[in-house]
Amino acid sequence: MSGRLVCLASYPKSGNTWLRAMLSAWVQQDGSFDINAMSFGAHASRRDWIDAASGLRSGDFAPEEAALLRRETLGHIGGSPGALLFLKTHDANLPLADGQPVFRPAALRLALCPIRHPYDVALSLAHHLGRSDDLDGVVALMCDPAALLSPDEGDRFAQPLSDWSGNVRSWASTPRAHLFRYEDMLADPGLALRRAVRLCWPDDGDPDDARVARVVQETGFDRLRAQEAAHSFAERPPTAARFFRSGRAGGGGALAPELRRRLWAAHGEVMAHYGYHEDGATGPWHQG
Amino acid sequence: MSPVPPAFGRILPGSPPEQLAGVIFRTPFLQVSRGAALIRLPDGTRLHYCRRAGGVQVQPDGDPVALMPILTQTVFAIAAWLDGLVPLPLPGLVKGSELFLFHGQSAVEAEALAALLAQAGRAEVCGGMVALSGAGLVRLNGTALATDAGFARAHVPELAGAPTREGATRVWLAPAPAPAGDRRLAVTLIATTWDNRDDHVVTPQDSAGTLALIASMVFLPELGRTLLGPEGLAQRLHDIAGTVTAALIASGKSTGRPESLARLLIPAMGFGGGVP
Repeated sequence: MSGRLVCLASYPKSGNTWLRAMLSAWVQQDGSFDINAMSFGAHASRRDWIDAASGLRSGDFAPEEAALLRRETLGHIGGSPGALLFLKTHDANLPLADGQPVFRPAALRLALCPIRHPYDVALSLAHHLGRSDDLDGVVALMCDPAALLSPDEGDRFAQPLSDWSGNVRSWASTPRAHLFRYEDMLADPGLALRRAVRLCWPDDGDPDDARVARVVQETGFDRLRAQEAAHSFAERPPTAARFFRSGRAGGGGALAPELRRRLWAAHGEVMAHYGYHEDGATGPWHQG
Repeated sequence: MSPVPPAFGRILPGSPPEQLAGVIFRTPFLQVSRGAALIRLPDGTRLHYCRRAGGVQVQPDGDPVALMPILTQTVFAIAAWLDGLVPLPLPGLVKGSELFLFHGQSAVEAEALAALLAQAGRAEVCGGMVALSGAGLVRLNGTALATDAGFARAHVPELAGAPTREGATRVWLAPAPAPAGDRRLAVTLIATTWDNRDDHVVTPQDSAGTLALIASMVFLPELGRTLLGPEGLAQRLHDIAGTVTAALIASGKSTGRPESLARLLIPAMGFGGGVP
């Protein structure tokens, strides 16, 4: 019997927040979706509730010990009875010091894992990190197996990203993980939502058409952007002028050829597997 | 180096048990019975606390200073629960007959804020873990608690002590003397919340808001529910909220540094000094 954790897991800027928004609006049902009131998908790197659940102050431990503490606490929570618990994470699901992965299979009900063409990710991530003038550094980050999104400090645990393909591979090899291409979500958000809803609540039958249509409308990029413009977005990092940008696919083709070459050299095998072409286009992905 | 608080810092002879009898609450790292707690750290270290034993058993033999984070944060907190108090993982300041408690989105901000204001107000820092009863009692077994001042080193270099983990900037303050006798202190809770606005906004909380704030920062609420029952815990929090004045600071996104908050709070708290 698997646990009750549902991870929304992805490399940053791959559609994780969008998918979370869709599922939040799906659960909310009342048509008043608010990007600043998503009570859905707590961040898995948050220290406060791991401290509260473990009874230990993780900040008092060395980072590698803190990582074990978090894993065991998540395992304890995920293995206990209760409703599904949705978590957002950018961590690669790689082994910790003891050889066991960040998320224990026994605690994990399933993982929903958006992926996106890494050229597009590079541009979006650069904006997100306030490093639009340092695309070279952002591409280096995406090619660094030891990359961290943030270190173990303050109110967050370390977020080990791995490199782009390492992150994707780590989740692709996780039991009960389901990958969603961002480009497919963009092309047919309703289809992606239906798939996610069926996976999360398989006993609830087929998702209702009208409800799907409402959620897709409520969480369209234009609506998300408008909400952020009107009320800002609490999850926007100070380094980014705005969180929701164009949301388009294929913009990464504008990345400098040298940077594209580096990404392709580092990640071409995984990119090709998921239909991400060297020229920045996205082709079919034959899920096997 | 800071001395270990005498009430719990003493390492007792003997080995901790492998399991605790009569466990009523369990996390991956804690077992709690009605009179004892067993803590097992990720590195395998075990600590055993028994009520009224005056110390803890540790295995393997631990350096009391290295163990201070656990002794002061976790053991104190569990002891507080077992003694019928409600522990809050907050740094605080004692100035005269007033106690100011700080709660932030991360411990770092609250601790840095406390350290800054301690300098400005010439106040004593007390407690990374504060225990409250409905009467507002803020001491535990005769000793105000040593505090982990978090990242205060950056702001108050003279408070720096030995780091407790490699590369950390964590510092320890000496245990402050307990408030004399059972003197009750006027407790002001200052909680910061992350916000997207540009400016800081201070909002005094009514009793319902105060209760909600305290409920949100209770250490191990599950343990409280187990020991006190849901209604008992709710009543205890209600009693505490009645003794506490609270203010909520919406911390502006672009100006959310502790220094900015300290400048805002110094006059509100009646402290005369400036931000160091």
